[in-house]
Amino acid sequence: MDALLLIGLSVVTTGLITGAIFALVAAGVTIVYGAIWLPNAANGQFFMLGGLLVWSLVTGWGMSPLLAAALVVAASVPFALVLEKGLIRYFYDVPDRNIVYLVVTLGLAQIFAGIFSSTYGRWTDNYSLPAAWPGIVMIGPFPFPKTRLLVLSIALGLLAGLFVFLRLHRVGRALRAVFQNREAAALRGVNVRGIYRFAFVLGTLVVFAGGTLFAMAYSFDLTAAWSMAIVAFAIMIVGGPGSVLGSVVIGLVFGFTQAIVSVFANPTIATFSYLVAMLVILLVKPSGLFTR
Amino acid sequence: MPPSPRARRALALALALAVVAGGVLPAAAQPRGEPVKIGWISELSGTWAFFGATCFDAAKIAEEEINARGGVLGRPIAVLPQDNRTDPAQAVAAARVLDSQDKVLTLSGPTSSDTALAVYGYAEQNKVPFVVPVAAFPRLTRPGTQWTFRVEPDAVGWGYAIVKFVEKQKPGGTLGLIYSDYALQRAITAGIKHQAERSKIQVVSDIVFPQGATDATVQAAQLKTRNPDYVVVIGGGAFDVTITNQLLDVGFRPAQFIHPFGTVKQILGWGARSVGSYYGTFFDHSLANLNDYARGLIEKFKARKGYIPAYIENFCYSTVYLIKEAVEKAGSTDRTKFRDALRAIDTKEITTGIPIVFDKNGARKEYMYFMQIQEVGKDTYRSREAFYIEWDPEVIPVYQLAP
Amino acid sequence: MLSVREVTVRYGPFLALDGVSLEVGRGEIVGLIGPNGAGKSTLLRALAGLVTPAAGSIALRGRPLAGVEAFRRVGLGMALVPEGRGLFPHMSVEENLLMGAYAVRDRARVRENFERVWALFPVLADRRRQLAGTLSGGQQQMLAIGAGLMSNPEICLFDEPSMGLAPIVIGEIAEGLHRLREAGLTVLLAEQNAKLASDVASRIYILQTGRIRYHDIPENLLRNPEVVEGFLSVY
Ligand SMILES: Nc1ncnc2c1ncn2[C@@H]1O[C@H](COP(=O)(O)OP(=O)(O)OP(=O)(O)O)[C@@H](O)[C@H]1O
Ligand SMILES: [Mg+2]
Repeated sequence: MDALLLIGLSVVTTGLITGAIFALVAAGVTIVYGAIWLPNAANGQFFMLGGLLVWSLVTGWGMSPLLAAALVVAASVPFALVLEKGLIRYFYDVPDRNIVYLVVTLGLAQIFAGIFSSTYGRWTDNYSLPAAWPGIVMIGPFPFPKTRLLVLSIALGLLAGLFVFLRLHRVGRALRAVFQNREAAALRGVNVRGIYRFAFVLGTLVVFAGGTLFAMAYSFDLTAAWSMAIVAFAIMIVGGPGSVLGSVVIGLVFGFTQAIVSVFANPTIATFSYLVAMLVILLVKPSGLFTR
Repeated sequence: MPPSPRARRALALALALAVVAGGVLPAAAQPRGEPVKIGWISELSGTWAFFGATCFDAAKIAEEEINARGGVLGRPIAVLPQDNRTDPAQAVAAARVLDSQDKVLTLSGPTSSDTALAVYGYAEQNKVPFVVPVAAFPRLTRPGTQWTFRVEPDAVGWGYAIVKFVEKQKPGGTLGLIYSDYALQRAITAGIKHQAERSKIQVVSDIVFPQGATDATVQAAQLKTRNPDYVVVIGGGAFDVTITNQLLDVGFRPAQFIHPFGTVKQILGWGARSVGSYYGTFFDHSLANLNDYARGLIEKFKARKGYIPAYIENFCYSTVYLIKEAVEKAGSTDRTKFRDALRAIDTKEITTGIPIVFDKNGARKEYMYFMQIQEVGKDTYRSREAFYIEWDPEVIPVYQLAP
Repeated sequence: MLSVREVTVRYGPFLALDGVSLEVGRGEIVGLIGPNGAGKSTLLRALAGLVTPAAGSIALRGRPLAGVEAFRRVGLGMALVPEGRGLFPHMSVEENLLMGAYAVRDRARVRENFERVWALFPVLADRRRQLAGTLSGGQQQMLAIGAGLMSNPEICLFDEPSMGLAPIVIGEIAEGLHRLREAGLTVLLAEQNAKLASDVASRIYILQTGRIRYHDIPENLLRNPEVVEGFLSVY
C-alpha cells in the first residue's frame, strides 16, 4: 500500500514539475512564433544559457540560486532587445519569414552551442546547483525536496501570471490580437512592430525562466539544450502554435505521460512516450488542440 | 560544488568568445630540434570536452617534465593536439593529418570510446601505433589487434570488479542497476550481470534511461520498493548527479551506492550528501603512499587548473611517460620497433607503481580501487581505500559481453 | 474633415488609383461606389495608412498624413472597418470591442462607448461572451462597425459593409448608418450596393478603374441615364 502510494506520489510530482518546465519553455516559444512567425530553433540554447549563467553566478560568486535566477531572468531582457535590434527585426517584413527565421535561429543555435562546448564544456560535463531551499518535506510516505517544491510553485506561478496577463492586460490582449490578425490589430491602433519586439523579449524571458528553474531542479549538461528545443517545438505544434493555453495543457500532458508510462514501461519508452501522444493528438486534430 | 575561480573563468571565457563569436583552440606546442612527436587526438570541444581538455592538460604536464629532464633519446618530446570535437569522423581526419603530415611516432589522446574506436580503425589499417589513455570499451583491444595498446582497464572488467566488491561486502547480497543507455554503461552492466550469477549476487532491478533523460524520481521510488543492498548508479553526464540525488531523496543511504567511476567533478557534484558512498577508480589523490610523481602531478595540476586531478588526468599523464619509456626501450623512433617495445614492456605506472603489462591484444593487466567518500568540500574531497583488485583482462569473456 | 488630393497608388506596374481627389466634410456621410476592382478598397486602405500612395496627399482636419503609420492614424481619429471585417475570431464580442478601444486610455470613455455600441446593435449585447468567429455574417458586420466606433473616431471608413449579407440584414445595417448620421458621425462609405449608398449618403463619388468618374448628390446621379446605366443598374 505504502509502496503504491510512494510510486503514485512520485508520478504526480514528476509529472507536475517536468510538465511545468516543459510548459514554460513551450509558452515562450509559442509566444514568439504566434506573434512574429519566428520558430526559434535556438530556444534550447537560450534555455541552456539561462541555466549556465545561474550556475556561474552561484558557483563563481557564491550568490544564492534564487537571486542568481532573478538576475539572469532580468538580464534576458537586454539580451533579447539587443538580438531583436541587431538581427531579428530585419526580417519582420520578409515574405515566408518563418523559413528565414528558422535558418537564422539554427545558425544562432550553432554559434551558441559552439561557444558553450568550447568554454563551459571544457570545465565540466556536470552543472549542479546547491539546493535553493535545503531539506525535504514529506508528502505522506513520499519525500519531496523543498527546492523542487519551490521550483514547481514558481513555474506554476509564472504560467498563471502569463495567462492572466494575456487574458486581461491591454498589452496581453494586443499580443493575442496580433496573433490572430495583425492588419486588424494595426487598424485598432496597435503598434505591430512594437508588439513583435515585446513578444520576442517576453518569449525569451520565459524561456530563460524555464532554464533557470530547470537548473535549480536538476543537474544538467550541455545536451539538455537540444532535447529541450525538440520538446518545446513538439508541444507548440500539438498545443496549437501561438496558444499559451495549449502549451500549458500539452506541457503538463507530456510531463504526466512520461511519469505515468515510467511506472509500467522502461524509461526509454517513457521518455519518448510523449512523441506517441503527439502523433495521436495530431491525427485527431492536425491543426493543434488550441487556438490563439 | 565545483570551485569558484573556474566557474568565473568559464563565464569570462564564454563572454570573450561570445564577442568574437567563434572558437579559439590552444595552439600546438612548438617543438624545437627533432622532437619525438605524439599525435594527441582529443575531445577539446563537443560533449566529451571536459574529459578531453582535462586529459590534455595532464599530458602537457608530463611533456614539460620530460623535456625539462632531457627529453627522450636526447630529443624533446612533443604532444601535438588535434581537436576531434567528440566526433568519430573528425577523429579519423585528425589521425590522417597527424600521420601523414606531422609524421608522428604514435597516436594517442582519445578519452571517449567512440572517438577511440574511430582512431583504432585508422591505426590498425595504416599500421600506426596507438596508445589509448582513457577509453574503456573492450573492442579497442579485440583479438587480432596489432597496433593499439590500452592503458585503462576495460569497462566489462569494471563490472566484474564491482561484483567482486559487493561479494566481499555482503556475500549473497542484492544489487540494483540504474544507468543511462551509453555503450560504456552497457559494457559495465554486462560485466556485472555476467559475474553476479557466478558470485551469487542477485540483480533485483535493471533500469536503463535513454540518453537525454532528466528525471528519475519515479524509477527511484520503484527501486526503493525493491530495496536492494547496493545500487550501481551510472547516469550519463549530469544525469548521474540527478539520479544520485533522487535516490538519496527517496531514502537510500549513501553507503548503498556504488559508482563505477568517479571523476573529481562527479564527486564534487554528488556533494556532501554522498559521504559514505563508494566509487571505483584507478587513481585518487586520497590514496595512501603516493609517490613523488603522483604528488607532483597533483600539485602542478591544481596550481594550473584550480582543481585536483583524478584517474583521467593520471592516465593521460602516465601515458606520455609510458610512451617515453617505450621509445627508450626501442632505441629509435621507428614505428614497428616502438610497437614491439610496447608489446614487450613490463614496467610500473609512474605515479602508482601498478604494473603495466599488455596482453597479445594490447589490453593491460587490469586493476581497480574502490574508494569510500569521507568528506566533500567546495573544491576538494577526501576518501579512503575500501577495496583493491587486480585481474587478467580475459577473466570473463569481455569481448563477447560487449561485442 | 478629410481631404484627398490627386492620390495615385500603384501595385508594382499596375495603376490602382490614378489621381483621385475627394472631400468629406464634418458630419457628412459620403458614398464611394464602383464596380469590382475599381479601387475602392485601395483608396480606403491608403487613407488608413495600409498602403502608401505613390503620389498625392491626404489630410485629416488639415493635417497631412504622409508618413504617419497606420496605427497612429487611429489616435488621430480615423477608423477603418475593412473589407473582410477585421475581427479577431478567437476573441469574444466584448474583447473585440475592447480591442476597438485600444487607443482610448480613459476607462470612463470606454464604458460610454460600450453603451453606445450596445444601444446601436442590441444583438451584440446579448452575445457579448460569444467568440467573434462564431457570429453570423450580419452580426460580425455589426461587431466590425461597433469595434470601429469604440475608438471615438472623427471619421469612419466603411468598406462594403453590405458584402455577403441578405437584404434584410443590409436593412439593419442601413438603419445603423442612419442613426450614426443623426449622431453626427462623419463617414466615408465604400459600396457596390448603390441602393444602400444612395440611401444614406448625402454625396456620392463614382470610381471606375482607379479614377473618379462622377461626383454629385444621389438625386442627380439617379437622374443621369448614363450613370444609371453604367453603375446603378442594380438600383
Ligand atoms: N495587393 C495587391 N497587389 C496587386 N494588385 C492589387 C492588390 N490589391 C488590389 N489590387 C488590384 O487593384 C485593383 C483595385 O482593387 P480594390 O480591392 O481596391 O478594388 P475594389 O474596388 O475594392 O473592388 P471590390 O469591389 O471587388 O472589393 C484591382 O484590380 C485589384 O486586382
Ligand atoms: Mg474592395
